[in-house]
Amino acid sequence: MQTANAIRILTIEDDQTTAEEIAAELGAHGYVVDVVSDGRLGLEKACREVYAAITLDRMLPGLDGLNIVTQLRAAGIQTPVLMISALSDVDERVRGLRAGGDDYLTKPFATDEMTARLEVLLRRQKSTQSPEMMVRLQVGDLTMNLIERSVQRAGQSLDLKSTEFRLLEYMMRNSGQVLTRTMIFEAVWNYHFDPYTNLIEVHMMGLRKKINLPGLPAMIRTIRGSGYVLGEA
Amino acid sequence: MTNSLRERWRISTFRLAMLFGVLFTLGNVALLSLIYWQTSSYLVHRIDDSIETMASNFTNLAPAKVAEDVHDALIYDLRRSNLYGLFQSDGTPIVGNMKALPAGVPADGRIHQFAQFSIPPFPSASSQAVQGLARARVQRLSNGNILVIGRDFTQLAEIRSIILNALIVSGAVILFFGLLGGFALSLSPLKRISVIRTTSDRIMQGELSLRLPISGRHDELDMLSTIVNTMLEEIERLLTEVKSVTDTVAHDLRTPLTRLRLMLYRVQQQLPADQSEHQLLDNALDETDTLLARFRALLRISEIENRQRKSGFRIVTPETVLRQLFELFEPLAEDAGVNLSLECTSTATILADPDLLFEALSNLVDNAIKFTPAGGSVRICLAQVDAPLKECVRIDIIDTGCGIPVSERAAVLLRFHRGQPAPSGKEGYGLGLSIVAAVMRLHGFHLLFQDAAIGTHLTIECS
Repeated sequence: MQTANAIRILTIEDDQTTAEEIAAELGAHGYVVDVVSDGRLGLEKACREVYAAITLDRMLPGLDGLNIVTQLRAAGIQTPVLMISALSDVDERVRGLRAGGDDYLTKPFATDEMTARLEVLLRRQKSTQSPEMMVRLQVGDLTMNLIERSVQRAGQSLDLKSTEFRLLEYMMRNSGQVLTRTMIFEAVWNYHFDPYTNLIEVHMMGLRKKINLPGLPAMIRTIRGSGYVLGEA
Repeated sequence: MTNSLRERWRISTFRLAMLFGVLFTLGNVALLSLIYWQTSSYLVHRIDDSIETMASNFTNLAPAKVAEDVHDALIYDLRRSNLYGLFQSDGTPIVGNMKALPAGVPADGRIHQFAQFSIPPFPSASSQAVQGLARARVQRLSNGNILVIGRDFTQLAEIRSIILNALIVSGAVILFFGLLGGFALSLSPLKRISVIRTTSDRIMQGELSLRLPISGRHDELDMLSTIVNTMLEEIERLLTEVKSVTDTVAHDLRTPLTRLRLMLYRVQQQLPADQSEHQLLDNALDETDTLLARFRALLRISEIENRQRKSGFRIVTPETVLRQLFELFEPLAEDAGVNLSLECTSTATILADPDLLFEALSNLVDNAIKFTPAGGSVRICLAQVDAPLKECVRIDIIDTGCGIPVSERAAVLLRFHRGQPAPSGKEGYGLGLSIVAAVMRLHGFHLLFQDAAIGTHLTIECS
């Protein structure tokens, strides 16, 4: 399975079971995973070798996760880091992100959630900062003008509310990726609690109704148990 | 000021000290009155005694001899403090140092007090007789003449009034210092009590590691504080134990549950969608999700309760939070056929953790929408409350749903504190409200159930 251009992921995780789970899940998605259980070794490996992304446990023997990410960033290594922690407090999340982590996931997590988040990070790494994306987004026949704040599907203008616009913008920026409800709630509404209800589903339904035009293929797919994907079927 | 006085009055030390002050003053007033009364009656008795003695010289004398004796007595009275007067029965003076019969004094042979020009003790050309007091015995002689024998009382009355004044002044001084001293004495224990009170308030707000101050004087306040501190230590230990057990249980169960969910999901994915097992697994997945959500909520509650942190507190405009909330829930309400509306009449700001406030409010709005049948309405209102001292804002959430019976409201509120899950019939009620309650407690806001004809009317008072 291991090919020369396989995407390599570094997992720094001291809990054996969690590490195995991450490796199995990412392996199933075609990534090559290196697992390190010690903080100091992990930092060394992250500095020496090139990885597409790192999953990093917050609490580690040897060197703390926060320290690792701080030192990585200080050394100029911009590899995306997904922090994984048993500490779910908002304060911890803020601290993790401030230290240089790119996303924060609380233990225990659903592995598909972890993969979805990691893939968004990988994708962001590839496609960020293209000046084009500051003005115009395009997925299939769906285009969004960020300056005029207008959306068109196959040349036809769509009238979206501001929430729907933000939701669609997030999905277009991450098209083709599985986006979980939590990820959407965090990114679009910027809140980090569990909404417990089908809030996101309802918003998604509204958006779907507007961008699904008669005669054109549906653009938003539901992944049962995971989330949503925007893209041409 | 009146407020703080009223507050002080409620404190027993203060009351005791003041009571002591009052008793002390009353005792002093009684003592002083006794002194005055004794002195005054002593003075009167002395005078009356000497009048009686003087009068006894005149008893059984022939009326002609009386005039002679009165004359003699005046000559021998070197101090000139005695009054002698012999009058005819019509009041014309015969002999003596009195110009007229004292007005209104009956000639009954008893001693009476009356106004009389006093005789200055050291007569001189300029000294005029002044209006004074005298005590005298007036008696009718056998020939109808009237004999007055008395003594000037002016100086003694003056002495008496000097004593009275002295007593009143010293009484007032004692009263003033007694009350002031009582007040001052009660202040120092009050200061300690107020320290104890602020500390207790903070402990009640969750800073369980705090202890009451101990002065080292081994007095009753110290004794009580020591007892309370021991109690606090025990409570803290038990709470941490319980909390860590709950947290560990919730946390440890979540990991296998998450794995179970994943396995169910994988199995389900491998089955064709039309198989009956697929549906079964779907249900199993839903149940697992519910369980996971419950555990997340449980952990979330203890997380909110655990944090003494007010680091997330900022100046928040409730209007902004409510507009976001409205935007978030509008599609849900629309989907449920419920008319969601927002009325803001205040742009005031409050100190709050915006994330937690949003979370709490979204739980309440979510419940309101959930329990309101299609065609009903949910109103969110923000209004300014006229509070005398501080800015106060109230948020009302009014729905036309099934409502909470009055008898159950207390139970729902009680459940907040216990953080117990709701009975299965009312899914999503108990824990959601427990989160709300935890957030309210952290903020010091009040959650109230209002009486409503239909549905539920909840009020949050932010102050």
